[in-house]
Amino acid sequence: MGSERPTGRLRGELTEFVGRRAELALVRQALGTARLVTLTGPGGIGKTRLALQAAWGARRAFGDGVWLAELGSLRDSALLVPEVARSLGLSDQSARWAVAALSDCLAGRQLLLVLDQCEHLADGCAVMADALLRTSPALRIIATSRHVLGVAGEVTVAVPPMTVPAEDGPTSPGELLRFEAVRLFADRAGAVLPGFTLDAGNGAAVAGVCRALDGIPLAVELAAVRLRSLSPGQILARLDSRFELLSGGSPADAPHHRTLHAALAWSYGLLTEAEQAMWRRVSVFAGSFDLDAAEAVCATGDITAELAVDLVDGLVAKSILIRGAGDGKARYRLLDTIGEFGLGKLRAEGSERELRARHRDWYAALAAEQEAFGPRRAEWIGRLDQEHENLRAALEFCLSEPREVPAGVELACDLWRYWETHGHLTEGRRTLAALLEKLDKAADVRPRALWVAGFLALVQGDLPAARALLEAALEAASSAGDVRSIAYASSQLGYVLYYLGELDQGHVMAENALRLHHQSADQIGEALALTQIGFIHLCSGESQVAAARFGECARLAERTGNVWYQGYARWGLAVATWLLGDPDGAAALVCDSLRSMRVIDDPVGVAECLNALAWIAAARKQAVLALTLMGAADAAWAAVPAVLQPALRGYHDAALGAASEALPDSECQAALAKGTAMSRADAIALALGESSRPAPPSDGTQAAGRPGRLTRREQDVAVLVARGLSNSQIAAELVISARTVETHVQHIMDKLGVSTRAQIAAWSAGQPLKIRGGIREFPDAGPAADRHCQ
Amino acid sequence: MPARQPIAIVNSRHALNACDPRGVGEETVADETHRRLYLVEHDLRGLSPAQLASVHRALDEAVRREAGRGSRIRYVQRIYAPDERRCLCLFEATSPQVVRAVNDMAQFPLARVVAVLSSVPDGTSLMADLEETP
Repeated sequence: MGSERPTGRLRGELTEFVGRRAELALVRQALGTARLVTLTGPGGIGKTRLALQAAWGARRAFGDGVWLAELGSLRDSALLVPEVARSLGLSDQSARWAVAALSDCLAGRQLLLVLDQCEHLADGCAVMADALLRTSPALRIIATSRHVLGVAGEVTVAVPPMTVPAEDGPTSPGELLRFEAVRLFADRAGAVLPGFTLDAGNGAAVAGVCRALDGIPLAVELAAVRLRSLSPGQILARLDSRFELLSGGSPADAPHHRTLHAALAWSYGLLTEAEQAMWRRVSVFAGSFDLDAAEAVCATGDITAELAVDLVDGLVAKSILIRGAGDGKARYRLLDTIGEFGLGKLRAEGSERELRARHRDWYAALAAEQEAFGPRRAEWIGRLDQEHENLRAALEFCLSEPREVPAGVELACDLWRYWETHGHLTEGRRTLAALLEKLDKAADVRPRALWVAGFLALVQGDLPAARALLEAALEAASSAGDVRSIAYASSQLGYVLYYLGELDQGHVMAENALRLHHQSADQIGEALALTQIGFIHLCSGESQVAAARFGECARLAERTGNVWYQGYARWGLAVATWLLGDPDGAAALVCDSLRSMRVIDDPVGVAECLNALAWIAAARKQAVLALTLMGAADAAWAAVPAVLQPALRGYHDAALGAASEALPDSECQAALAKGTAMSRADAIALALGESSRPAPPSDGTQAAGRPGRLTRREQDVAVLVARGLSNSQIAAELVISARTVETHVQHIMDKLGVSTRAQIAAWSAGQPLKIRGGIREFPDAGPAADRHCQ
Repeated sequence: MPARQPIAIVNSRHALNACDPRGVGEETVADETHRRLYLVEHDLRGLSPAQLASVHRALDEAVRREAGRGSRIRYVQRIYAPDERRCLCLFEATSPQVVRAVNDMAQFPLARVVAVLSSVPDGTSLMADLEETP
């Protein structure tokens, strides 16, 4: 496929994967015979790490990569397929059955999907997995769930606790390290206490801790981080004295669940009061969050913004929070089990509502502040994407209480361009439908909610729903005297009527909307209406009028810094100019438009421009270029996924026919295939006549694909990671602390754009050899890493 | 008043009548006597035969699982219009929420659930007349 999507995406893990050889072998064996393998077990048992490790180990069998869909924060089973599509980098543009749309994208692709944390939506996950597996023959799935999904053909691997030495078992360090839980403790201990080794003095205590914690990996990790202030013997003594009380729980609870809960309570009890409060408060975040959000949401009462930063740092050090391995600004997340525990405490304290309101306020402000049309649009989309789970959680909070519904409507409406242009149409429509159902009939925000919902339905091609919503919006806005909403509803309704064949009425409504937007000095609305009117004229064969309207829009957009509409207006003006017989002028305009589309990172706009340039090339008798661009445009549409508007299909077909006639069949096919195989960046470069892929814009709006150079120290660490050394072993080798090694590993992952230690090893193996001081050095990390990442 | 039981073929313009005017979602699941019929229309354009089969399987499976959770719901009938690629799915359930949950589970997040009444046409139906025509 000619997209720039990486072939796979797994979450980065900064800590060593320990043990689990038998389970990995079981999963590998199961994947050989079954298309759905479910790893089951209680929280904290290590299902996710095992699934990710198994998926990484199996990657060579999947030419289209191994992909992780994290479902833990999703609460709506109807959005499972859109969420999986999002994890695969696909947009949700169509109103078709989502399973079919996704299986079309997966057709012929050898892909392994990891569905993580299915338990809370188990039935939905089961129905989805069954449907996807039936419609995508080359797909295989590893799911993690506390319970079996119950899908035909599913093979289950129950993940046991890690092995622990028996009470009367071995005592020598060498023998103890044969047990997984002891090895895990020792590895994590090395990270918090540089130079920690298991020896005759501490072996028995470590073994006792692992035994007391039933070999549950999360519990062992939480205990190991306490070595900063306690010896293994002290940890064991405190566990023994508190566990009886803490693990008392309900007799109905599974023993491992009781042990884990007790370990969490023990960990919680060892924190300062401020740290405990911070754990409770950060539990309202979904997915991950950054420091700004932590300060804004959690700094209340005794916790100041400054203290909040220190507390986050403290919780990271105690493994309550995990710092993500992503690039740029640091982000933090809670393991699901740890978050559930914190939320339980927050509820018990009676503060959940207050924190959720603060959380919603922060994300509502973010949505209101976003730049949806300007040059920083791509940067904003990236930011909103990172916060998608939090935005969703904020909306869920608004839906949970009648008095918060209007605030939810404001938030959902502020996200209208995010829902639309970044492929979350179904989620946006569903959210607005749920809010509208609960919203007071006379609420001020109702007209806006209705037209935004109608707009999203229109973009998704659901014209009957769009018409009903927009007519309701018009009625509600007229009753309320809401001129702005009357204008937007009229504009969209005009478009709907045009598509339904009521051309004159559609045109009248759009012109009326333009007048109202102009009167109310709403320049975004004006640009929107001008684009729509231009498009209606373009499709009606009235190129002269279309050119005038698009030209007017382009000038307005340029004047107001609206890069989005500048791009689309120039594209429309270009097509009209081409139809009026000026291919050279048209080509220059499309190139201008394409440059804008690249800046705002709009995949649909890029596909539109590639198509237009292909038509112009065909008219100029440049058959090979025309066909190559058509192939690239087809790939660009498929990568969204979306299709060219039917009204423009005639131009495409005519250009394809003309170019195909000019060349032998084999050359036609070769040119189309060449275009189809191009990455989007290469297709843009070809279209713009650039010799090679351009450098990313200086404002950093394009996703970073090329890693930076590794420092010498990072190169050293990468080589040792490739040798299979743990962080503590690397620390000993390089005489630095394990924490420093962890930081280096994080930087290496950031720079290489990889997410696992095994990927660092794979990258390392592909580097030219150069020896410095007994350690292999990489002459240039950049290009080689780039090749690997692709 | 049309009969509610048994559920019959409804492929007739006389059979599916207007929405229940009493409003929806007022009954409790436990109230057996208030089970009602709900219609959901699915636009299945652009789906391959295998995908079409999967739609039906997904709905069947979702109903089975929803019923397994204790909800009272039955997938009564589906009527497929091949030329238009539209499918009318008739459910019997205690509330529209249960029907919505099933469609959510089957990944139809925007399904519109409409309460309907069903009746069996009498012996003077159009089909009977046609059969008698030489």
